[in-house]
Amino acid sequence: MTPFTYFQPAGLEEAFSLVAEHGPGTRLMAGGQSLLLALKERLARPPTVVSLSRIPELSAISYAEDGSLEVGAATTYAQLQKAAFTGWHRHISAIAGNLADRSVRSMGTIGGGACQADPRYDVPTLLVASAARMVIGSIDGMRSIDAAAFFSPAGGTTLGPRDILCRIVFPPAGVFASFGFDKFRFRVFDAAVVNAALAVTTDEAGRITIARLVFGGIAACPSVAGAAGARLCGVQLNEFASLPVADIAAQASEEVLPIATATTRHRQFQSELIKTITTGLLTQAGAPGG
Amino acid sequence: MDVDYANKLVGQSVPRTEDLALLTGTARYIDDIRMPGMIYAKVLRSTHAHAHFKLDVSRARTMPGVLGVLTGAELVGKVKPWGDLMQDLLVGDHFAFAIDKVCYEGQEIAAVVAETKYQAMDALEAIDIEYDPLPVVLEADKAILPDAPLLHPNFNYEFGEGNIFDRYRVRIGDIERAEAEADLVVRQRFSSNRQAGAALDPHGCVASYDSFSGMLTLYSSTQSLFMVRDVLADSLQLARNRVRVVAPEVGAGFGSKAQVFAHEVIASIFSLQTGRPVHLVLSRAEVFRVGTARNGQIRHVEMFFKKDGKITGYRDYVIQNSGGSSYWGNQVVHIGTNVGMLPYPVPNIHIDGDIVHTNTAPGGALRGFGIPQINWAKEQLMDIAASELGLDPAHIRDINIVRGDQCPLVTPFGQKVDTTSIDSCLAKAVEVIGWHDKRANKRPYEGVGMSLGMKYTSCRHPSFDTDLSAIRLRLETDGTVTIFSSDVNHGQGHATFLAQIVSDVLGVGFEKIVLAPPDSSNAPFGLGTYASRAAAVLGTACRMAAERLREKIVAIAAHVLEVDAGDLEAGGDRIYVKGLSNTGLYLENLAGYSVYRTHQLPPGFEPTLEATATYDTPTDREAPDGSGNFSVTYAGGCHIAHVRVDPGTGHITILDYVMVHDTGTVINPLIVEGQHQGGFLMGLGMAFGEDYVYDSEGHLLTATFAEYKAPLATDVPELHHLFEIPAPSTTIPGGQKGAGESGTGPVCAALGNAVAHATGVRFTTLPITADRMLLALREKERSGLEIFRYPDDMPDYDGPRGYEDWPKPTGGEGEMFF
Ligand SMILES: Cc1cc2nc3c(=O)[nH]c(=O)nc-3n(C[C@H](O)[C@H](O)[C@H](O)COP(=O)(O)OP(=O)(O)OC[C@H]3O[C@@H](n4cnc5c(N)ncnc54)[C@H](O)[C@@H]3O)c2cc1C
Repeated sequence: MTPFTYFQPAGLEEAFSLVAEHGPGTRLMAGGQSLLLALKERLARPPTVVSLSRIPELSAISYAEDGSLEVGAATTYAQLQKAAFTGWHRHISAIAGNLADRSVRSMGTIGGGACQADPRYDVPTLLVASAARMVIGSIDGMRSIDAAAFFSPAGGTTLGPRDILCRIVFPPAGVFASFGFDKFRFRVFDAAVVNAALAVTTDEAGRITIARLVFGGIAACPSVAGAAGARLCGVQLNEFASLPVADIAAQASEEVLPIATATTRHRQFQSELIKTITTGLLTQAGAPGG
Repeated sequence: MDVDYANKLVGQSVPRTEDLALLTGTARYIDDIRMPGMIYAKVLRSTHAHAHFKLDVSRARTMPGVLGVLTGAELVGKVKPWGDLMQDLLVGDHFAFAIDKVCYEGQEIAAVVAETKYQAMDALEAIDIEYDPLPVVLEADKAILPDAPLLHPNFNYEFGEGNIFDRYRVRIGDIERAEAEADLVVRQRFSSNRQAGAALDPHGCVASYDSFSGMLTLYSSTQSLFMVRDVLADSLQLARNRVRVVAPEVGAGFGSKAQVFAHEVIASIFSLQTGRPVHLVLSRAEVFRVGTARNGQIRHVEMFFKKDGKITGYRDYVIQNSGGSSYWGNQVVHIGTNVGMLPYPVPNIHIDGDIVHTNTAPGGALRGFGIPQINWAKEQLMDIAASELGLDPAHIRDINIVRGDQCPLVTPFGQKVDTTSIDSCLAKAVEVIGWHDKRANKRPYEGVGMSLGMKYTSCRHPSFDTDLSAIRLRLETDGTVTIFSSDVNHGQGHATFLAQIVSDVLGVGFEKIVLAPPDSSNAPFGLGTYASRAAAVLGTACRMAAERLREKIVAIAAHVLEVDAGDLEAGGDRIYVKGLSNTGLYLENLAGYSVYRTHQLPPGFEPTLEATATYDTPTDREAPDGSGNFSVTYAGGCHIAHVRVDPGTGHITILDYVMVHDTGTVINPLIVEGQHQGGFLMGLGMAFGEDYVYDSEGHLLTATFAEYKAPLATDVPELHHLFEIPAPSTTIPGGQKGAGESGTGPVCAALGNAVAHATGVRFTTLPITADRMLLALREKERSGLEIFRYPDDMPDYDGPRGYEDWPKPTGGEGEMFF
């Protein structure tokens, strides 16, 4: 580490001003699970660190009137894992409870995971697949953007230097007729080689209207297999068994990671994993109760 | 009433004395040491794998808190180089720092000592360095090519040249004839990975020079006090009695702390210069880069068989990657190959070895010491041969192994196998796993595979003609006993198992025995703790010392009690007349006579009750043809793995793993079980995940525990199928054999064979990772091959695919090496 000035604001407004006042070198610290590693190795040398851990509204979980789930950016994975969620929100608990190790889950936060924007991590994939809204604040006021617009295609986030991610708003528990998440990692505490989520909405007749198939670990930001997803539209969930699942999986793989570009062993492995994982997600979605 | 003191502790699972401190966090490791006035050193390490460099440290000298800066150039002529342990020759290729050229990433370039760690780190950043990069060579078979970049152009090696710093050669029997008369020849090139010791307690030291006494004390996380002391004192040109090496709690070494390191020399120089204690503990990234790694091997193996499965010959050309510098590298080839041939007494053996430097991490000693590498090749070839001959892998092994009832037996390679139960181990493992049923009723993507291995119990290294350890015992004046040893415990349970031996021989209560902290200034000379030698070699010294001490104690008792010494027995903390165990004299009283009431002593008895014993094993030096018995006795075992491969991801699950070992007489079953579990774990890491991965410029990409895929607890199967079939050594007086490494040797091959049985994919390289497995499965489908070799049959593989393309040994057929 190199020396820095440490602030622990007790409210959001104070945090906004501190960030604005101390300039672009300032780093926010949520759980510190990524930031501290960088500080310890002197890979990051911020003159100022502003902690988000003492701001109550950042770690609150609540519901909006329409049933949307509002999660404070500094909510820890451990909190999310224990939360009494219903419907597809239960997948948020499951994902939060099955990443990194226990100590990282106790300290690490969903907002930190989003802002770290490491494509191998599960949070960005979850956010993009579920079409979450990201509520961002700064001394200039509050705004909200789509998760897909939060992650920059070149890597990292589109946050400005004075911005703080305040809340993540997930669509209501009943929105998805089916939701699935899967990943492959070498060891249980490793970041994923490939992770994937499939979120499906249906119309009154039970036909698929949207099938968002998203992969993490492939590019610098979550990759959406739009064309493969589109092939599912119009189909009934319980008709999945009749779909050419392997073919759709292969298409998804080619779409997000063209085999011609998969020249390394790692890339070829990812290409195969996408097929395996997609096949699994599609099969699961089509299964009763999927 | 007469108590039966014959109830001995040797053989019992006495809970480890060490564990309370370890589990409660009160054990003090190297980084826990704090001394008044202690200052902190940090090392500037090369960020290039091969480069000339120029250095300017003037800015660093003026940084706040800085008390000293060192570079290689200023030490030339003042500090002696030390070096690779060659046959009879020390090559001075190790130095505190690189002088103007680095040969691997992480090599020491300069160091700073400052009042605080952070000031030292700041000062390192103020060192100006300019690199002039050179081409790198990262692979052993590339390093021997005539146009390979040369690492050490200024060294003259006795048996090598260029990047080949040593050669190895074995000529036993008549290999041409074996080949000509063989019914079957199997051949395959196998390569093995680099592996870290990955001890959680990092390498490090605190050096403290006392200018008043002229004594330099080095606290170091090391496996060997005297090896460090002698090399350090020589390097600094200090008298050896003015250098004291002390080990705190050592959080494992696995071989990676069995040599002197540059940081130990650097910290010592800083302390000599400043007169203050100097702390220098390496970070994890530094340990990965310079803490030594397993030597990678490429083995070109051919085995010759008769129709019935009898092995008639073994030919091998091994090229070993020992990294940028290597203290133990050549010994790994010599000893690992010799002992690794067991349990097969092969009549005709022809081996050549080129041991090379590359621009990668230094190759060191690591659990198994060459045996996992040869076992990986040989035990897979056994399966290949079995399949060619239509024999069961268990059968082809069974008809070739050294059998217990043939012992003692001298093999054509010169090994004197005093006893073994390897044949029974094989039979037991086959039964426990349900081998025949699993082979006959194979399920898709499931398979079973086995490997047999024998492991030396300590070793006479070709480079030093010694294999000794020593113990001194003192009966204290309150009847307690202190054990002094310089062989450092780093997980072997010295305080426990030595006390078991002493307790049995002296009849003193186990809880009254204490092992003194290892300190070269008061412990007898011993080589250290490595090579599975603690129980057998140190344990024998301990038994001898205890017997000597008992003789003295009994002599006093006989004199005082006015009985014949032969009528006395020891037990219950006293010496008593046989049959009268509740009478006699307490050890406390006898010890009192020996120092406080010397008139009570027998005439001519030299006061005090101490005894020292040194045990040097009755082992051979290596003969010019490579033969010899380097090990006092041989532990061994049979491992069988049952695996399932996920055809969608390549992930391999170990469903069951059976280990049946011969560790001779087991002093403490709990400790031995722990050693086997740990040994297996290390083999598992080597088999399925651990590796030193470099980019094309020689930067290590796996220098963190996030990237370095050591197994986690969740990757380890239940190890409940663990058995011992003791064949007590007849050479070691207590019958015990080494336990530390026999669990590691067979693991890679057992898993490789199981994977091949499960999938038809034969791995010839390590580690067997999920990505390799999955791509091999896909390519196997595409190719239609029934047996698919990875990577040999992959389309993009650029190494030699077949025997025709194998390189030839570089040494020629000249003189023999010795
Ligand atoms: C060993 C290990 C394994 C892991 N494995 C996984 C995994 O498998 N899957 C997975 O999803 N994640 C994984 N993670 C990441 C983990 O999920 C954490 O989310 C991550 O480390 C960061 O969260 P944090 O709260 O600790 O953030 P911090 O480390 O405090 O911050 C991370 C970055 O985000 C910025 N930041 C934090 N909060 C905000 C905010 N509200 N507004 C703006 N910027 C902010 C910080 O300035 C910093 O740059 C792993 C982490 C570790 C250490």
